[in-house]
Amino acid sequence: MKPNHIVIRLATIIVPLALLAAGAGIFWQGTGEPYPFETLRGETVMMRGHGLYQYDTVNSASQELGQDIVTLIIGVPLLIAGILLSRKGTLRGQLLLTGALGYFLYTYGAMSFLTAFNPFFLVYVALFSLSLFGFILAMNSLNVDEIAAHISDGFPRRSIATYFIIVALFLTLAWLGLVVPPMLTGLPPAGLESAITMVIQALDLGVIVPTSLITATLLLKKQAWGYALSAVVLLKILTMGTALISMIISQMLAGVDIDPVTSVIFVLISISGITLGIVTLRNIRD
Amino acid sequence: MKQRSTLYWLVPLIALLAAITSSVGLFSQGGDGPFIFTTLHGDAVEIYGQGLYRNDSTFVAALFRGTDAINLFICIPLLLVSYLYYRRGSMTGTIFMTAALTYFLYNGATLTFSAAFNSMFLLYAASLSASLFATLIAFTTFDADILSNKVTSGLPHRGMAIFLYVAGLGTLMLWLSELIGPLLTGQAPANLGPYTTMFTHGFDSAVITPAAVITGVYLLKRKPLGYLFAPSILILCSLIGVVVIAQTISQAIAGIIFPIGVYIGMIGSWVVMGAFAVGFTIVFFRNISETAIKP
Repeated sequence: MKPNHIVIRLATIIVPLALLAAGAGIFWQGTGEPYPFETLRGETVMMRGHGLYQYDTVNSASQELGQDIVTLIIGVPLLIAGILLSRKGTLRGQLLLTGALGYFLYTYGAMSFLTAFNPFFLVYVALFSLSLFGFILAMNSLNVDEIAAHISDGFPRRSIATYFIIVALFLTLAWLGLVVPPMLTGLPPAGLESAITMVIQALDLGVIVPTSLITATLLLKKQAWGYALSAVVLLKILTMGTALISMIISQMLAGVDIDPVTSVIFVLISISGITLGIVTLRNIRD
Repeated sequence: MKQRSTLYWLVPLIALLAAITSSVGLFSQGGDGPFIFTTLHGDAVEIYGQGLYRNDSTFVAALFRGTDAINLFICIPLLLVSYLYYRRGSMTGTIFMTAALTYFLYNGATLTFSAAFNSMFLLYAASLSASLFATLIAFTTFDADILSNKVTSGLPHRGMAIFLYVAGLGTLMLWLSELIGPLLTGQAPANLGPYTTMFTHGFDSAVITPAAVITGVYLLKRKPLGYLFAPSILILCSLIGVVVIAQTISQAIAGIIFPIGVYIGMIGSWVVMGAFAVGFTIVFFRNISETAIKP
């Protein structure tokens, strides 16, 4: 499969920018203490008060920190591996690169719109833009029929389709439970804190849930796009899953109260996604 | 034009969702009225305090209400009429429907990610989702090569490309000029108000500017994809020109009056951009024949 040079060039620009943005989140801690702030919705929340995420709450700053760690130790290395392997023209390399771009797209879409305005705003926006156009081009240059032809018989088609349906159902139930009651009562949603709206819930319900369901349907129908999409979505879940686990650990370290049931389900979903992602990569012959 | 059965329910759904959210935004009342909120950065801002946008700043609530009016009276009718022409197999209808879907994608993203959480939140997310997938499907109903065969030699490729560069890069420059100062000094941007971050600045810079510039490059290189994207961006710019006029009127009604320089410089430039976009849209369709030019 011929590598797309523009995708590789865009991905190559993402590497240093992501190192810069995630590195700043981790290593620029500054000085200052957390302080209480009364939000627009009348709730009192603790602001981090120092470092790059000084204007985020203690809770969301700890999630951003967890995300940064995963971006540095998994996201960037996967992206580099994807760049190197797709320059050799391998199919696995192209899928790896597309999946890694999917991770950066979701991550920096959320960082651009959900992180409190900070000095790295334009870097987040640049990363969002580069990974959006890189992802679209990468998807467009995937030869889906070739991918379908390279899937070996051991590919767990039904398990993966079932997994996507479970992820979609869980996200739908969890996030509807969070946003529907406050839509009816007018009270602030749990977890809104100092943010203006529920960005992650909208992204997941509006984009991730339909994509998971479409992928599951295409897989069950044995359509070529199903294999291509499932490889890409699983790679994104592989990285997002580790990020989620890292976020939960980081929140626990910061002393944030977390919902044990939701956290355990998220960890289970992440671990099975990571496993299925690895199984998928193994079942693609070059 | 290829018919896609998914669009038969997605497009009416988008129109319905937009009709509901825009009507509620424009007509809902109630609430205690404006109040002052002290932001994280210590600035005092006026919050609208009434109707659907009660938790938005008065500044932004007025923008949203202006947009709602244009959605109800121009954008939703445009989407529905172009959809009917699409069903009849008209290419012009399909192009207009795709452009209207692109507009609702932009509108849906703006309300989903930048309006203060309100009772329409899930409808915003649904509208964003439906218009994202519908736009992707609509773009794939075109065969760009067939479309490019219908373009006559009179199309002013260079003029359109220059317009797209100016619109895309001008927007970027305008937004950067509002951000660079605060980014260097560490202060909050002037209109941040109660918001988490500067959504429109980020979204336009990340998505609209590159899309406009790439389309301009494609047009100059006579690439078929250029003819596919150009009308959508031109119609989007035309609609934004109209929306800005409505937003300015809505802000004036809410008591937000700008210095004359802002009307001429900022708002005037959006309207001029919109006027040029209307002109180029007309030129584009005059240079498209429903039958193929080349064999």
